[in-house]
Amino acid sequence: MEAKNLLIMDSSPLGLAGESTRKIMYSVVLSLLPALGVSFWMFGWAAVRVVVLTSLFCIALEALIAKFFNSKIDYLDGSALVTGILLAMNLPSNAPWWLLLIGSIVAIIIGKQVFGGLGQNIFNPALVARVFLLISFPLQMTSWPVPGQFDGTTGATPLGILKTEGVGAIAKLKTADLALGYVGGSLGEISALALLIGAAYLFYKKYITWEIPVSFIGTVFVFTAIFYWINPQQYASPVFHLFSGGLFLGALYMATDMVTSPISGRAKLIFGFGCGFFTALIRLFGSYPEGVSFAILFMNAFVPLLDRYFPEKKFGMQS
Amino acid sequence: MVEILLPGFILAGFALISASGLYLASKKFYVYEDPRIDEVEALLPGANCGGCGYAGCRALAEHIVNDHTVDTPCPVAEPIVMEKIADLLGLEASVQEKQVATLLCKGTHENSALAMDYRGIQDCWAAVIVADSIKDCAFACLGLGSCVQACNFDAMRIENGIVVIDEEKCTGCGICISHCPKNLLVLRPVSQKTIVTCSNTDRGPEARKACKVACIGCMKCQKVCQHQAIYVEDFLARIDFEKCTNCGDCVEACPTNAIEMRGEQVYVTA
Amino acid sequence: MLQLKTFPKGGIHPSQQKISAQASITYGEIPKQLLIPVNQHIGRTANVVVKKNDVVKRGQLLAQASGFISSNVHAPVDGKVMKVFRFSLLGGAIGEVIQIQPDEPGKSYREVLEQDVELSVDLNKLTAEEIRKRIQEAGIVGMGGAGFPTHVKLSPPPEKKIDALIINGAECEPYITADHRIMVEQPAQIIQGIKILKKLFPEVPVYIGIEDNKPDALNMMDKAAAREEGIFVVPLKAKYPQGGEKQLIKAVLNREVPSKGLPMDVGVIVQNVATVLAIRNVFYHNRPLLERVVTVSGSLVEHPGNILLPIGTPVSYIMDKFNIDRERVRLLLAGGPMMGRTCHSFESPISKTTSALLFFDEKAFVQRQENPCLRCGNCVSVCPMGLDVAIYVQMVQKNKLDDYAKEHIMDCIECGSCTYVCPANRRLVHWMRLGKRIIKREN
Repeated sequence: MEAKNLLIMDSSPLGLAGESTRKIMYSVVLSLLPALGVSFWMFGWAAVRVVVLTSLFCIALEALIAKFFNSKIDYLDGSALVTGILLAMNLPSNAPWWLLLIGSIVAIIIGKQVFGGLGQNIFNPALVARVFLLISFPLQMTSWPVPGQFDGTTGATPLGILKTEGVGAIAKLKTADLALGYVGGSLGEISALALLIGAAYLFYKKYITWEIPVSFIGTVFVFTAIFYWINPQQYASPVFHLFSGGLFLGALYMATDMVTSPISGRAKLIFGFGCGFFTALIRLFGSYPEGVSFAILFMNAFVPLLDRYFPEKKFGMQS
Repeated sequence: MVEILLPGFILAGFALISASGLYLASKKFYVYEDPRIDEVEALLPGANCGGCGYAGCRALAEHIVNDHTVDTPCPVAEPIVMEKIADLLGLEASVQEKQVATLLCKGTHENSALAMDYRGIQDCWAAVIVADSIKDCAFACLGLGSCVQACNFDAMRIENGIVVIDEEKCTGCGICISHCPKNLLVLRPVSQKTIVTCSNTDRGPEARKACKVACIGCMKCQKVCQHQAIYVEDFLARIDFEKCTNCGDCVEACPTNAIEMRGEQVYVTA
Repeated sequence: MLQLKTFPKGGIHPSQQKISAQASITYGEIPKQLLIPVNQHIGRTANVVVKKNDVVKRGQLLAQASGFISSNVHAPVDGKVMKVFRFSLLGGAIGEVIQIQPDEPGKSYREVLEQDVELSVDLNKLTAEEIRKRIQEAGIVGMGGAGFPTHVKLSPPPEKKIDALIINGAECEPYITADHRIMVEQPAQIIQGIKILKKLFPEVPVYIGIEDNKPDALNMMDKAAAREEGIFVVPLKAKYPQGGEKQLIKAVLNREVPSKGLPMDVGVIVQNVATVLAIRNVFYHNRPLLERVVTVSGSLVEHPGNILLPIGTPVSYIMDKFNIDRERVRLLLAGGPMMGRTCHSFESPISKTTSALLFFDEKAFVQRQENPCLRCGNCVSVCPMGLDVAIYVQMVQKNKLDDYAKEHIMDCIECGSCTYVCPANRRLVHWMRLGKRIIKREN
């Protein structure tokens, strides 16, 4: 009896919807294109350089690990590419190449592979790298090129101005500029609008759900609004907080990362609330101008707990 | 100077308070434990295989000391170990022969062909969900290695579609037995050399069709045995280890090679 | 427009593939030999009461139920018992079969049916006890797939008050159209069956749940039920797995069967339409469960259809009848692609629970390389039981099930929705089933 005549036996179901890890990951890449386009337009070739380098570094690192440690890793599944692009979006366009390399190493190796690779990491790899770089190289990480000026002029981010110079200094910034991205900042935190367009695609594909972005952004808005209402002289308006910094990048792309966010809807709402709460806390009272990365990383640590204590409602269980 | 000394004093104070807290707690919540438990545990292999029926070596040591008995010997350790433990407690150790796990199947790919192209999870328990057997013989070893994974002593491997047991490495802990969905593994004393390597209880013709070396229940072995040690039940020969003298008559008589004499030579799959 | 009912949580919309929906039920011939499986139900195996060379008549008892939760097996045609032996059954199991050599091979099964007695049934004279007894004797089991003995389901303990009957015509699995055709072609007979069931539970409303992807069945059943009191056709919005008992009860009555509970815990009894028809035939033709409608479909079947076959017909007979090329078949499914079981022998016989036989070639099988879980949560969001599938499966894989997982894994209905949507190609249902096995092994 030849093996090829034997009938195939497997567990049901035999039908599949045809989703794949690659499809999801490359859809995320696709959805990031509008935001990348804006940053290329704002920062020019320098931005292209950062994105290309981090993506290459991340994929190459994963390929190396696949070659020498775990041949099962599919380094072209798009997850390394997503990490690379997201890392780039968290960096200033004038970041030197060695900074990009260090960031990629931290993201792929410390952020992801030491935990066991894709799906096993507790913290968002790109954010781990960003925070690592922010703490280790504060100078390089906080001199932001001014958009549209390709002569190397650097300036502070709106949130940086707010932190150092107070509410009065940000009055001259227009909300429209903030929303469209005509402000200083990292590659990805400049245009809220472009990020929303990309995220809309992911919503449409059902790769992200509404809970985390809505509760994250909503919480930041409500908290900053309360303080603005108490004392507008000291605290910036909630609209300013909404459109400045990495809030949209964080809420739409970082916090919604499948691997490092909770699974059930209720847990996602709590997760988003936590992210928003700590973001607002750091922005209003912390020593760093921006708190999105720290807030998300902090909440990442709570994901297993949230999964465990706020699971999906079971059929036939009295709650 | 005060700036340096003050924190030093404060820290020392903290240390003192914490230390005394720990000391008090260890006194207050002290649970007496027989020190011999530690000694017995140290003698045991420490593999925590659970072969004895207790949760681990510590649990067995507690049982031995608290109940003052060596009725459950460690199946893994050399007999000398149990003797030492018995000496320690002033007990009489019963010497037990080393046991080894044995597969009652010779359904290699040549003997019992694959009946399907199984593509599911590579685990025996997962396979029996999909089909009772993936080979022609309904009773055959599936060769997907659930027992190999369960073995703590690296004594098992899959070769040519069935599991092969390294009797040198096997400690007879018996953990594999409950991990075989087909119930093909048994423990036997090492000195028991004669084994019926088949578990097929179908009638002769069907068993023969399923596997080249199946026991067909022909009764020849039962007739030839001078010690009433081998008998056929449900079309399958079974050996009473108590009565068997390993004379080898049944091995000679078996027309299908379903009875095997384990010699000094390494067991090679047909 | 009124919102059609469905179950709220989870579910998927797989490609329907109901390519045999318009094919009327045809009749086969008596094959050269029949292999009647002794165990076609959930519960204790029946005891074979015939022996080699016995001559048996159509409807004669072959195997006697060995307890309350067990089921009789009867001879579907006149013939001679050749032997009783163990054989590969559909779905990978190996079990005892009774081989019967029919007296008239090649005779149209339709003629056999026409020779059956035609009785007129006076419902007023039937007592509940008699109905239960005759259903039990006839070896009726749930024909939707599980094969639970029907008389057990119809005998709830007195403390469980039944206040609704649901007739399951959802047929949510892709490809399968057997129940669909029954509803289109024999609506009056189904209603007759329902009326017999109503004798057991007088004054209890009967709901016939049918998905809206079968408008002709809905129409026919609606017409047939219109004249009857207390029988309501409930159109349901098509969603898989609506045919699952618990999901159907939720959809029709908005009641939730408790975890580890049975439909009778919420006062409901669910019966499949094919089962109801079989019950009807017990009383109108004095015919035990001897045959069933099987959908024959799949990519290798040129003219997919629905065929009424005596139980015990080997798959090979059907393959010849439908001109299916043996060489090309690589995947044989008993049941639908979502919950059906793969089979490995063309000689295996159909049983009381075989609703469909699907034939596919190699292309239909997606070689699945399991990738790491992304925690995307698709499996959780489609799970109709609200289980945290991804989390349990990781525990099963590490062989470290905690109490929380142990409590919930058993609630899995193995509908396959999670595996269907998993982007990482993980065999989630298989892992869940393995988890159930491990829990059972440990107990």
